[in-house]
Amino acid sequence: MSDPATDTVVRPNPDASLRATTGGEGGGVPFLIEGRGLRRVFSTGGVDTVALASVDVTIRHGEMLAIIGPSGSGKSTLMALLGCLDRPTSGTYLLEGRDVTRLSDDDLSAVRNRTIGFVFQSFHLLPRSTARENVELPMIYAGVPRRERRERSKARLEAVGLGHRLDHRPNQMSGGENQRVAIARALVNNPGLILADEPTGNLDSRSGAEILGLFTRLNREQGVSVILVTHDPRVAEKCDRVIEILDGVVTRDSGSVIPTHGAGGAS
Amino acid sequence: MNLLESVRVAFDALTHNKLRTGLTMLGIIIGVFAVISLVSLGHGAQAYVADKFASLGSNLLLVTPGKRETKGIGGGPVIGAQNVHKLTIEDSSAIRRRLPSVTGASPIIFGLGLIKYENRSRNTMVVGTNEEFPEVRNLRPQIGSFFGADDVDAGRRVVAIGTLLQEELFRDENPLGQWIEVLGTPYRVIAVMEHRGQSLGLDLDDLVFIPVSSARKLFNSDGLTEIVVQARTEADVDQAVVEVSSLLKDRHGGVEDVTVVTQTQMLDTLSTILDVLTVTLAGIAAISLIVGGIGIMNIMLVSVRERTREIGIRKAVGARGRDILAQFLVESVVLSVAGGAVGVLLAFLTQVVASMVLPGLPILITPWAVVLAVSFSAVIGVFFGVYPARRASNLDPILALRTE
Repeated sequence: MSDPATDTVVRPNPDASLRATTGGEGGGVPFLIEGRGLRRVFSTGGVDTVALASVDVTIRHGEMLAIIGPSGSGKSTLMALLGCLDRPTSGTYLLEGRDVTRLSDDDLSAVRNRTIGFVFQSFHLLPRSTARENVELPMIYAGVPRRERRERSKARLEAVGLGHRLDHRPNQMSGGENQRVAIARALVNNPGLILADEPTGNLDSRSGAEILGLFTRLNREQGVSVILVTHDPRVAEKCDRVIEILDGVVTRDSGSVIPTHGAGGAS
Repeated sequence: MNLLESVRVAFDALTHNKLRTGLTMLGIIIGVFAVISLVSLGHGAQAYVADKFASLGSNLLLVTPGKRETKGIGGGPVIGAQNVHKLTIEDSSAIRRRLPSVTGASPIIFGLGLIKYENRSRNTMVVGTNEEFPEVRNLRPQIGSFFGADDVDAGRRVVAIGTLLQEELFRDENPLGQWIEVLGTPYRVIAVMEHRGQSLGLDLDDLVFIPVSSARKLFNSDGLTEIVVQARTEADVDQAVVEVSSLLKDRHGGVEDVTVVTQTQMLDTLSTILDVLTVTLAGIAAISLIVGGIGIMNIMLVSVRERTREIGIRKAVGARGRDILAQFLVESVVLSVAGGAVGVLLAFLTQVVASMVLPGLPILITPWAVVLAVSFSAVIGVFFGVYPARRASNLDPILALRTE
């Protein structure tokens, strides 16, 4: 496993992961994520709580970035919005050039199914299902035939080094193994984006480092964009870009390291 | 997610908590079992009645005094009908002799009386009739011979007794030729009738038969209770009804003051009563199905709450609301249909056991009762499953994921 820290500069071919493209204006490449004035207000019992005040965020294909901030800063809310698990109260959110704030619930499900892979702090695996069945789950909702599901789930688990754990249930595996199952599940429909919420939060440092290495490799070798939500600075420093969020606003953004790309050149 | 996938997931979930699944199904099992068993019992009773009627002969008509608009099972004269002519033995003879469609007619006088032999006595039903009775009602003497036309004409004091009376009064003694007292008048026993048992509420073994002329004197009555008429064949029954009616109208001075009922009509009346009874019982049993459905709804709501996180996970990886809805709906339908199937099985099992233990019990499992009960339980599964399933499908994925 290569040390991601030494591999700081540009990946060879970031647009390998380019998926849907809109008819770009001025020949520009659409961003992976383009959020403008994202605001999320929760109303409970007549009291409004502003979780996100106004967030502008632009993320390019192939980035590996960390969103950091203390608990209550709004980073989980931002992650839910970016992951299409929630809709902003106001603002626009273009995912791969497509305005997802206007999509129906069913369409959002389809976006989550094919475009985004989730990895959670507490793994969120189905406890009674085997590793293989858990990895098959997104494919069930994508309508993949059973035989193909069997093959792809096996291949994905082997790719994360769990070829010997196919029929184990979550409680028969270690935390690191569980998280690798979750990563296999996140990748099985070949999404362009992995959203990971404190993926190492429940792991010992060794397993945590392994998981981080896995993300880095995915990003470097397969061009998958990775967004890590964390409050662990050691996780953040493995990323090319860090966005810091506090009280619902972005307080610091180290900026994209991906060069402007495309026929038009400048952006 | 296709249906097969949903069913597989439902079975997985249901087999995980077997005790709970079993108890929830029990409500439906009992409901379906009750519906099928009660309907089968009702249906069996109907078949039993029809069978008994058929054994009497389907070509019988019953003439009773008094005109009644609604047809029913024969009874005595209508109370308050003052200018009703009594039915007489002569009426009976006229029907027998003059009508070509009739091959037998038995005048009947029913009475209650004390029968005595030595120091033993028994209160029982006394039937005054004529020599054609064994032929008309298909009830033959087992030993001895029934009284003949001459006995009837002369009003002789001879009696044919049922097997029960023979056992009660004579024990092991040979009753033939013995004298018994019927309402204090001595009669000579000339026959013991064959064993028949209960038939439509009347114990045929607990009767004594005496010549109708003798009964008339004994009960001091000149009118008959009824006349049982035997048509030549089943096809002649309708013709016989018309002929008997018009003959008796002539004989009664142009007044239509008798009621003629056929076997079919009596059977129809009884069937209607049994139908109503069956439907009522099935309806009551269906209530237990509904209670079972509420049990399903209850457990599904608990299940949705328990599996909130699972629902969140499924939604995060791309399940649509309708996928979740289908998953939980299929689960409740599987619960109710499986319960229904076990109920059907149990009903069949009970029928087999019951028919071995109580061979006389009329249970007849009808296919429509099975179809009805199972489809009703499926409907219940859908009806009571929709609400919990909707709740599951409407869960907010973020909140659901956060649930522990």
